[in-house]
Amino acid sequence: MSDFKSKVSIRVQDDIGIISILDGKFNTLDSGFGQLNYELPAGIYKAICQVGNKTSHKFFSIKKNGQNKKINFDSISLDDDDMIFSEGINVVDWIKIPTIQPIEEITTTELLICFNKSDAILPLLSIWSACNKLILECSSFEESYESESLSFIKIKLSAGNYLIKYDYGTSHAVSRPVFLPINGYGALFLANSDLLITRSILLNSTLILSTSNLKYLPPYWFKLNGLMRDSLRKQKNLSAKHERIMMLNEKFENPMLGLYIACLLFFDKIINLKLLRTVLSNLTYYLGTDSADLIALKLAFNRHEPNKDKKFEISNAVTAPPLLSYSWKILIEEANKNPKIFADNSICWDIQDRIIDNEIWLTWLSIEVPPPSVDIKQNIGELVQTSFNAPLVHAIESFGLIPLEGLFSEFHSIKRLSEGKMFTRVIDTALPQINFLETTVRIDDEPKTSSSNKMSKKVDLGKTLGIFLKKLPWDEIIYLFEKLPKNSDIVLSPLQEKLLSIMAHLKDIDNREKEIPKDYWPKLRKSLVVTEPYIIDNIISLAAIAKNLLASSNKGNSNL
Amino acid sequence: MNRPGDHAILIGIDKYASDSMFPSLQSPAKDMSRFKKWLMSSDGGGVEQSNIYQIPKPNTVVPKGVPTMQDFQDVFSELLEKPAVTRERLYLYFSGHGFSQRLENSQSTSLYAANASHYSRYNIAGTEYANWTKNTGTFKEIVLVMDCCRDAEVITTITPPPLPSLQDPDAAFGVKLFCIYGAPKGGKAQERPIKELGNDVSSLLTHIFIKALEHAPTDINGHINGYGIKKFIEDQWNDLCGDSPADPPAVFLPEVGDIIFRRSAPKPLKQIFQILNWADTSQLLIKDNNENPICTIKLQAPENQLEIVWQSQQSADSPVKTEGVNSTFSIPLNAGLYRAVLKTKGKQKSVLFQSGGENVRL
Repeated sequence: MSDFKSKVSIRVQDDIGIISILDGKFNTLDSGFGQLNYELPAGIYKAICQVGNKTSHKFFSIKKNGQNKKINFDSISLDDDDMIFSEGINVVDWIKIPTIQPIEEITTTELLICFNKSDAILPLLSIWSACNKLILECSSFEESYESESLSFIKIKLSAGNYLIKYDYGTSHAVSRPVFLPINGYGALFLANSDLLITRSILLNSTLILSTSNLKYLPPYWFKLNGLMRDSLRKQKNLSAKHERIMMLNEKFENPMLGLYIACLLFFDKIINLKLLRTVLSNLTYYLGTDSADLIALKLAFNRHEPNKDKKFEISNAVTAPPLLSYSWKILIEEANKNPKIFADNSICWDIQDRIIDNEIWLTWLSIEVPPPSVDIKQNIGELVQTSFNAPLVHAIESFGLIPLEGLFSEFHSIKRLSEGKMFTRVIDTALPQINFLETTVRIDDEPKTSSSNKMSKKVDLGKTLGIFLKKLPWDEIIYLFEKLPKNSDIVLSPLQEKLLSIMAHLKDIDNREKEIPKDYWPKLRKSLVVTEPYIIDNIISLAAIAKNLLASSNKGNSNL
Repeated sequence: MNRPGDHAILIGIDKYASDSMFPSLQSPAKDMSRFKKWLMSSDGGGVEQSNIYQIPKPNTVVPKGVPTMQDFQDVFSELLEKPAVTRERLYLYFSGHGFSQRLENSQSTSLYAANASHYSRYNIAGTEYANWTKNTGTFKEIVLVMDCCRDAEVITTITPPPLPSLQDPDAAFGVKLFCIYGAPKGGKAQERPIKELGNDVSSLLTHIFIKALEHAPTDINGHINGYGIKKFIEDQWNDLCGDSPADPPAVFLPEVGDIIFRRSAPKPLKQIFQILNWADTSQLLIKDNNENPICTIKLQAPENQLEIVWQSQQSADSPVKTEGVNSTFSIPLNAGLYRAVLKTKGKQKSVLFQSGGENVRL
């Protein structure tokens, strides 16, 4: 056999996928998570990929005179004819699960790994990345401040999938996959017979692994995580009966499985409320009453349960974001009705415009977007004073305001302030701008402001939004943003970036003199998963930034 | 090849006294018989029939709640007390309901005795018997097969065998212990209808283990050893389970060296080929994973019979061509990866495949 070796790179899109390369005698040449690079001599080989409970394999060959090859295994479509795939063999498609794109500016999660000091031998600990790279190896631990019986090590890790190995010097090290979300509040795989310790650490937003639970590796936890990613992404219960039973039983050891199964139960056509009640009750015992995910699930439960249960009344405000995006959506829906669901000083308020993707884990950028370099209030004032030709009804309708009863007096105030005709259509269609505007500006927080002034400000704001929506040259603004140098001071939040294209779309509708659908705003709100005040705040900020940008490019709109 | 120094104790429990807690199983007795057959075969275990202890004894009426812990201990004692010329290898085979212990940092696994119930958790500590045998140096090699679930129990304790607390570090040194469990610790072993057995129900572990004992790839000396078995099982497991995944077996190799299970050449696997439009001039070339030719198949006049020419000493009957232009036939190939190249009138098609797997269509 020739000494020549060809480089082979195997990759699966989901970085929890385990890839292995086998030779003709089924020797495992190498294996790893997500990606595998290996040099192979000429011959026939087998690549195996496992994601969750799905396994797939492909055969490939390396020829003696082969060149180094870069093989894209995301789709397992090889770029070289030499890598022959058998047409006649029934090969399962590789599992394509979109992964989180690497982002530099992400928060890290503090991982606290604890060991019982009562164990005679402390293990050699190593943490491996999804790409099978050794990140940390240590055998000395600090004394725990949480409990005298614990030793611990702290490490900060970026979001992603890791494998933690514990080697007790016996023939077999113990490994456990760990999934850390990008929110800095990772408490995923936790378990301990000492619930007090577990809970106190969990609430401090860290993760605990106890040696008592690491004496064996339940491989199905790994499978269940893959399954859950699929299920939550598709909002569909993809689990088999035995997998559900497994999750129900194992949640006492790994409460994350409890959160998973609770989510799955909501996806059923006929929701088993009795089972859900038990699951949520048990999880409360483990996670406490202030777990954001649990609060969200209880809110969802209350929507389905006609007979309210005192045990499921939400008495705590959410102070920390949940782990799951599914929970976040529920909380945002609730916050739009009851803003007090988020505690006043909660980080939940701050991160809304930094949510970065639609993965099942709630994720957001760590850095705060710097405030725009203009005085928003001043600009609003200026803008409101400018001419406003478009009918306000368009601006109001575009937000799909929902009917609100019981505030007729304020309707009348608006009617007076709007000088009659402009709002006739609004009132005729019973659009409750009051409700909407109350959530957009905190005018009502100013007790000394008279009612008529409040209404005046609300109408002014409506006009302003109308201007922002329709009058700014959004296409041109997008173009200007794209041309900005990377080191520019002007930085948009992820939410503003999304809004930018939405504004351009609305502008296009307006240009074609078409009505903006009434349900546009609710749909928009739902898709952005952000509370209304934040959407409005970000539109205003965006408009202010856009105005500055236009001014600096000497193309400012004279109307503004 | 007979191995007079080898012994085996086999126990298979289909029915338990407490059917509600331990539902009846379909395969333990049958699996035990299959394993016994392999043990006795000359190209398999080579164990003499008189050295194989089967619990319950074959062709006997088995009362409810039997076999018990005592039954196993009695047989184990009987084996130790038996004046043996040599004690080379001991096979311990367990099949039935089992468990392990969550709070123990070991792989120790136990089989529930047939008289176990909710309040009487009688069990036969398979791993402990194997460890004792190793630690006392009673046998040079031990093969432990525990074809049972390994639920990680908290409230059930593995009952230590009533064996003397003996240890002989000198004798134990170099004793090889090969262990194979039906599932990882905390996992479930399964029994299912097996397609290769005509949909007869068998446990997945025993089936794949026996298959590996016969077909696994060999080491450089041409022997099937524990490492080859482990690799073969790991590779074949997903194919065996199909669309319903099951916890894979846990295989533990000896700390030093390895155990040789088969010294003769491995049994080849049957590989089916389906050749579309086989022409008179067609020629099928099979290459091994190093792209070395293994055999060539072509039509032989005047009988129009397929002729196979092996490059090495491997011999087999010529494959039988089916009627018509499309041809389906099988040839025996050792476990491994291959390339099939079909040459017809100057054109050629090739496909990579694994022997014993899906049909190869060209």
